[in-house]
Amino acid sequence: MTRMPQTLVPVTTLQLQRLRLEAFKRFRQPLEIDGLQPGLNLFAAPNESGKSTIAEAIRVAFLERYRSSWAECLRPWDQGSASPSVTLDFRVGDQQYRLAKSFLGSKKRCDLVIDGKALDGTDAEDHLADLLGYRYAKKGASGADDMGVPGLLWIQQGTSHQLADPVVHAGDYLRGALGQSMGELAASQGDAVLQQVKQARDALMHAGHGAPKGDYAAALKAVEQCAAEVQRLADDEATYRQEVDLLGQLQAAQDQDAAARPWEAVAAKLALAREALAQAQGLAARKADADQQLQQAQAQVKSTRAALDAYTQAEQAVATRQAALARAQARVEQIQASLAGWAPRREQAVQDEQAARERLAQVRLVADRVSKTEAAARSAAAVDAAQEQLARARDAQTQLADLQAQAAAVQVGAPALRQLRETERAWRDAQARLDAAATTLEFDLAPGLALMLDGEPVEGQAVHHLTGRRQLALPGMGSVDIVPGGADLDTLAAERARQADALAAQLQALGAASLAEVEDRAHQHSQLAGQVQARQELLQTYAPRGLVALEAQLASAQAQRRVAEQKLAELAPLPADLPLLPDLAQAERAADAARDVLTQTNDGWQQARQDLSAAQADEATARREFDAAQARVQAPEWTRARAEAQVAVADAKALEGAAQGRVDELARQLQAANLPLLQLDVERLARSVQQLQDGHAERGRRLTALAARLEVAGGLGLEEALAEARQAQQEAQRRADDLGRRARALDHLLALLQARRAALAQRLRAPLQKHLNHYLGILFPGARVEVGDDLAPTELVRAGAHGLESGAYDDLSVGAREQMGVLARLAYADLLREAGRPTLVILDDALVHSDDGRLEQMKRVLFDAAQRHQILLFTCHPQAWGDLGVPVRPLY
Amino acid sequence: MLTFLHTADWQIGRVFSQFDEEDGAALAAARLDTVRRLAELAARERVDAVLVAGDVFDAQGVRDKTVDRLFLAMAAFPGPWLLLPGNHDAALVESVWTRAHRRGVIPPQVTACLSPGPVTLPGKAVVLPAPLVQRHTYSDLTTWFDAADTAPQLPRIGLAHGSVQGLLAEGIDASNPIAADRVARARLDYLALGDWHGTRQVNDRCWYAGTPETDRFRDNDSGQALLVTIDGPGALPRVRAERTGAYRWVSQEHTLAGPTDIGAALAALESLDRHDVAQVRFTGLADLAGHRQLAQARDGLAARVRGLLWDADALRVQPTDDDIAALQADGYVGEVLQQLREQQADGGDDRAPARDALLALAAILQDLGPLGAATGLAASAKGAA
Repeated sequence: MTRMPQTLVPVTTLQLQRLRLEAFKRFRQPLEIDGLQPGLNLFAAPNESGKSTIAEAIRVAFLERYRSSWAECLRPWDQGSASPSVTLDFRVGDQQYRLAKSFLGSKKRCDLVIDGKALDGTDAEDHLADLLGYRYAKKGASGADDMGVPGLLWIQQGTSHQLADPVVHAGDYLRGALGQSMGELAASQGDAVLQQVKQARDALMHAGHGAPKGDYAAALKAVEQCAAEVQRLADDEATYRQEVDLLGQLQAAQDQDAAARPWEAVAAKLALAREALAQAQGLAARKADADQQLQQAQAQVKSTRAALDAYTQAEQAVATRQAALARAQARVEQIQASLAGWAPRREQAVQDEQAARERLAQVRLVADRVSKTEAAARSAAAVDAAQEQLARARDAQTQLADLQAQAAAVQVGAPALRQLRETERAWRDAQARLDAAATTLEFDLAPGLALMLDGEPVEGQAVHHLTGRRQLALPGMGSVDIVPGGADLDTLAAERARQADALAAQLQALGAASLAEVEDRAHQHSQLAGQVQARQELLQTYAPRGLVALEAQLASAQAQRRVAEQKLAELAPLPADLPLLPDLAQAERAADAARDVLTQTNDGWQQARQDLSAAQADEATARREFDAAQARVQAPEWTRARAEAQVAVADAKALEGAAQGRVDELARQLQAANLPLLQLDVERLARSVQQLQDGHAERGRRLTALAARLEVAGGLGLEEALAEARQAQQEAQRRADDLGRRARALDHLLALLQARRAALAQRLRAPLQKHLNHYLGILFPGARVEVGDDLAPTELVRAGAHGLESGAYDDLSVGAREQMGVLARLAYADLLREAGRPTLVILDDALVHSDDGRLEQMKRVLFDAAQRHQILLFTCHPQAWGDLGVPVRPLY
Repeated sequence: MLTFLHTADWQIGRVFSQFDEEDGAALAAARLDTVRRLAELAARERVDAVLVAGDVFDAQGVRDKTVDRLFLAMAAFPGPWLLLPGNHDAALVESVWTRAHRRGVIPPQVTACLSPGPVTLPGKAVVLPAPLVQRHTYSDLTTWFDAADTAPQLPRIGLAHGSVQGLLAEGIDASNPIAADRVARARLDYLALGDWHGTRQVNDRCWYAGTPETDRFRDNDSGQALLVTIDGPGALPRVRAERTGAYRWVSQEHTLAGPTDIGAALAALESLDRHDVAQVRFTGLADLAGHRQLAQARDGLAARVRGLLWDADALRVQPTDDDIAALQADGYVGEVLQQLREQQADGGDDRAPARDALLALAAILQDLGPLGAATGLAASAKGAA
C-alpha cells in the first residue's frame, strides 16, 4: 500500500505550459503545443485528428514507467524502431518542472528537471507519483486502480458518467487530502486496531446478539459440566452421609433392644391372657351341655303332647264322620226328586220332533213338482228360438249366393281393363298420325252439285283425308286419281290397322262391343261387391259359428225338452187333501228346532241319572267311615291309655323347666367373662410379641446390608473426589470469568471505536460535501448531494415538480450522471487543492450527452472551476464551446 | 520422665481448589511429606509417643489410597502413635477409621482412639482420649476425664479436639466445647488439644499444637509440632515448638499511587520463593508501564512460588500522557483511549470493562507499533474495496 508522504510541499497550482510529442502514435512528426494558459484551454479538432492522442500522451508521460515494454503500442504503426517520446514543461507552485520521457529501444529514459535540479529514471517517476497522487503498476501497464488522482481528474473520452470506480481508486489520496484539511484527525492505524479488536471480540462473542462463542462458550460449557459432576458427587456424598447417620441410629436402637428385650414383657401378658381365655372356654363347654339337655327335654314334651292330641282327635273324628254321612244322604234324596221331573219333558220332545219331520217331507214334494214344470216350459221356448234363428240364417245364405253369382257375371279383371284402355288409346294415336299425314281434300261445292269420291258422293262442304289412291269422279268431266304423297303413309296405315285388330280381339275376349261397355260392367261389379259384403255381415250375426252349429244347437234344445217333459210325467200325483203348507225354508227351520229340543232334554235326563249313582256311592263311603270311628272310641282299653298319655305330658314339662334354669345360669356367667374380648387380647398380644421379635431381626438384617453398602461406598473416596471436582469447577470458572471479562472489555472497546470512527467519517466528508454542493448549486439550484463512506456521491436531492425529490446517483440518466461526474471531479479537485495538492483537469469530449440548457450551466461551472484549476478541454464541436471566454485552439 | 510429640490437624486428603491443579496437588502431597518429617523428628528425639489431637483426615470420604499413604508416611517412627478422631474424621459408626481397620492397614504401632477410655503407655503415662463420635457435639466430651481412675505414679495426659470455652470470641466456640478448667478438674498433667490451626498455649498444661503444615493464609504460628517433656506426675511440662512446615503462606496487599510504589511492590514480590504460597492484592492506580511491569512480575512469581492468588482487579489503569504518546494513538483511536481514561476515572458501571478495554487497546497498539499499519481509515476502505 502506498503511504501518503507525511509532509507535503505547500503547492497550490499545477500549470502545464508546453507539450511536445515525437514519434508518438499518429504523430510521426514532432508536435508541439505551447503557451498553455492557467485556467481553461480549449482544443478543437474533428474526429480522428489526434485530440485523444494528446490527452493520452500526458497520461502516459506521468503514469507509465519509461521502461515498460507495454509502450510498444505507442509507436507509429509504420516506424518499427522509433522511440516514442513526450516532453512536458509545467509549473507546480513556484517550481518549474521539465519532464522528458522516451520509451522503447536504446533511447528509453526519463529525465526530470526541477528548478535546475535533475532527477532521472525511476526516482524521477516516483517523485511525480508522490506529487500527483498515483502509483505504478508492479508489472506492465497501469491499471485503473493504480491511477489514483489522475485516474479521477483526467476524464477519458466517454467515461465522464462513470464515477464510483475512479473515486475508489483515488480514495486513499482523497482521504489524505481530507485528513490534511481536518488537521490530521484520522488515526494513523485506527482501522487496523478496529479490525483487530473486532476479530478478537468476534472470536468470543457472536457478532449480532453477543452470545458467547468459541473459547468463551466452551469455557462456560466446561463450567456447566464441572458443576454437574460436582452436583452428582455432592448428592452421592450426602446420601452416603445420611446412610452413615442411619446406620448409627439403627445400631443404637438394635443395641438397646438387645439389652432391654421388650418382647419378653409382652409375652408375660400373653400367658395371663391365655389362662383367662381357657377358663372362659370351659364355661362355654358346660353351657353347650346344658343347652343339649334342654333341647332333649323340650323334645320329650313335644312327643308326649302329640300322643295325647291323637286321642282327642279320634273322639272329634266320630262327630265329623256323622255329619258327613248326613250330608251324603240328603244329596241322594235331592237328585232322585230331580230325575222324576225329567221323564214327561222327554216324552213331549220326542212327539214334537216327529211331527215337524213329516211336514217338511210334504213341503219338499210340492216344491219339486213346481220346479220340474217350469223346466219343461223353458226347454220348449229354447227349441222355438233355435228354429227361428236357423230359418233367418238360411235366408241370408241364399241371398248371399245370389249376389255373388251376379257379381261374378260382370267381373272384369283389373289388368284386362288396363290393357284394353291402353290398346284403345294406341289405336286412336295411330289414327291421328295417319290423319295428319294423309292428303286432305276440302270440298266446297255449290249447292246441288255432287262429286263422286271412290264412288261415294260428296256434296257441299266436306273434308276427306286420303291415305291411299282415290278416284274423284268429276261429273261430266271424267275422273281424277288422287295418290297421296309421303313415304310412311303406308306404315302409318298398317300401324292403325294393327292397333284396330288388337282392340277388336281384346273386346271380343271380354265379350263386349266397346270400351264403354266394359267400363260399365266394371262399375256394376263394384256395386254388387258392396252388397255381397253387407249380406255376409248379416249372415255372421245370425250364425257366428256357421249353419251347422245352429242346427246342432236346435237338436240339443229339442233333446232337453224331451227329458224335462219325461221327468214331469214321472211325478207321483199330489194328495187330494193337501193342507195349506208353509214354504220350504220355514219348514226346515221348524224341524231343526224340534230336533234341538229333543237332544237337550235327553242330555238333562242322562246327567241326572249319573249324579244319582255318584251320590249313592258317597253315601256308602261316609257310612263306612263313621262306623269305623265309632268302633275305635268304643273299644274297652281306650280310656286307660288316654289317662296314661296325660300323665306323660306333665312329667316331660317338669324336666324341661329344670334344664332351662341351668342354661340361663351358665349364659349369665359366660357373658360376664366376655369370651370374644379375651380371644382378641390373646391374638393382639401374640402378634405384638411376634412383631417385636421380627422387627429386631429385620433391623439386624438392614444393619448388615447397610453396613455392607457403606463399606463399598466408603472405599470410593467420595469427599476427596468431590473436593477435586470442585477444584476443577473453580478452575473452569476462573477461565470462563477471564474470557467473559475479556469479551466484555473487547465488546466495550469495539463499540467505542465504531462510534468514534463513524463520527469521524461524518466529519471528514463534510468539506467534500461543501464543494459538491457549491457546483451543484449552479447546475440545480437548491439541490444537495449526499456522500457515502467511499466518498462517492450516493444520493441527489433536488427540487422537482412535487417538491424535493431524492434519487440514487446510479439511477440518474446518462446525461445527468455525466454532468454530475464532471461536477464531482471538480469538487474533488477543489478538495485536493485545499489540501495543497496540485491539480490538473482534463476533459476529453466530455458532456456529449448534455442538452443545450444543461451545457450552458456546465460552462458556468467549468469557468468557475477554471479560476482555481488548469483545465484542458478537448472537443470535436468547437461551435458549442465558443462562449467559454477562451480562444479555441486548433490542433493544426 | 515422659517425652512425647504433640501434633494435630493434619487434614490429610485436603484439596486446594483455589490454586491451579498442579499447585493444588503439590500442596496436598506436601502434607504427607510433613507427616514423614514428624515421624523422623519423633524418631530423632526418641519420644515415648506421638499424640495427634484430631482431624488426622480432612474428610471421612478420603480415598483408600490416601489412607494407605498416610500410614506408610508414619513408618519412620516405631510408635506408639495415638490418633484421635476430630470433627473432620469423627468416629462414626462407619468412618474412615472403621474402613482402615476393616482393610487392616492400620500398623500395629498406631492406636486409633475411637472410644473414650484410658490408654496406658506402660511405665510412662496414661492417656485419656476424648474422641468425637459425631460430626458436631454440644456437650463436653472431656468430662469423663474428671472421674477417670489412673495409676498414681503415671502422668495423666488428656487428648481432645475442640474449642476451649472462653478462649475464643463469644459465639465461635459453640460446638465441640471443652471446659476451660478441665486440666484442673481432671488433675491432668497435660492436655493436648487440636482444632486450632495455629500453635497456641492455653495455660501451663494445655496447648493447641496447630497444624504441622500451614493450609491457609490467616493462621499465625502454624507449621509446627510441640515436643513435650514431663518429669513426673505433677511436674510442669516443658514445651518446645519444632518447625515442621514446608511452605510459608504469605499474604501481601499493595496500594499503588506512583512509580515508587510499584518499585516497592516489585521488591516485595521479589522476596517470595518456592517455599511460599502467595496471595497478592493490588489497589490504587498504575500507568501502563506499571501494569506491564506487574503483569511480567505476576508471570515470574507464578512460576516461582508453590501457589499464587493474584488480584489486581481493584487496580485502576491510568495511562500517562507519555503512555499515550508512546502508543501513538492518534485520530479516533486516540479519542477512544481518552474516553476510556475518563470512564475509568468516573467509576460507574463501565469502569471494569473500561479498565480491561484500555489494557486490551494498549496491548494491540503496542503490538502494531508506530509503523505497524497505514493511515487509519484507509486500511478498512481498501479492504472493503
